Amino acid sequence: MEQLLLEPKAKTPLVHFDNKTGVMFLKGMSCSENSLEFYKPVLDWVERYGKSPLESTILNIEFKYFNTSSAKCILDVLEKFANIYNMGNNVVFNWHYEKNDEEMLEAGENFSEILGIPFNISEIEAI
Amino acid sequence: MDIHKKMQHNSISLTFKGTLTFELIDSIVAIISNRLDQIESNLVIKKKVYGVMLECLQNLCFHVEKINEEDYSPHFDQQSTLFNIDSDEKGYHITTGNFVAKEKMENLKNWLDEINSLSEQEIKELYNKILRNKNYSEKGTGGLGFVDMAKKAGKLKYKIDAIDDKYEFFAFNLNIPKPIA
Repeated sequence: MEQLLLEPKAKTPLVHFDNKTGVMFLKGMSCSENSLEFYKPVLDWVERYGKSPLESTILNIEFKYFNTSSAKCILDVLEKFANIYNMGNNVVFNWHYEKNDEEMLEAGENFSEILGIPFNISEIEAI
Repeated sequence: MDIHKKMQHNSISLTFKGTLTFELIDSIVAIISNRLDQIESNLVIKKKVYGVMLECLQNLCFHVEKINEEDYSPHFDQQSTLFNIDSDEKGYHITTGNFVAKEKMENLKNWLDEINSLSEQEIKELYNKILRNKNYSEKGTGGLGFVDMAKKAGKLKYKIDAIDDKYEFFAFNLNIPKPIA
């Protein structure tokens, strides 16, 4: 299994999921009109990773903005990592939001509540 | 109105009427986004305007009526959509307009009325309920668009105008107020 690297574009985020280190990045904009198509390989990758995850996984999420069709897909990705966590593995969810971005702060709190998993939510200067 | 007011140095004004494509949306969003970076220092407001604009435009593009040639009206360009954004000292105003088949309008109207009847807290709960369901339309949309707009901009104002026996015109308006200085 190889790492997943999708370079960021104007409407899609950076996805860098590294199965050698267990450090995962999901970062930037997610506002494609075709989110399902973009997130399909991402979901497939996490599904495969979940079959034999590393002892420790760190998921770093930094969204500048996501549209509503991405919101469902992002929840799907987070659920896959939540499954890994719920199987007794160590998964850390780091949710970063841009300074003063109340909406992204709330989104992080919301996802954490839906999944029933604590997130480390912190403000950063800029995304 | 006084047209010269549109020339205020910190305002936005853009109107589009025509056949909307996702490529065009990218251009419109880029233009407005650049302008917002210049004139709006409040990040929360800026992101609300950006988000509402994008959801409105993507919604229009997904749901514009595909009209049969024999049904073309001699009076209206029914494949076209209208999008307008402008701002004044009170806030940002987004207006859209498109033709909707009569049989679909009832559902649309009921959906908007339902959202408009909810409190802020209930809108958040509805958003989460839809977020958690795994349903997507054939077009890949998740049914969150209007709920998200209501979360960001409050009341979803609309007006339905009669056109002919098959279509009605749906005018939609959202306002994002600027904080009182």
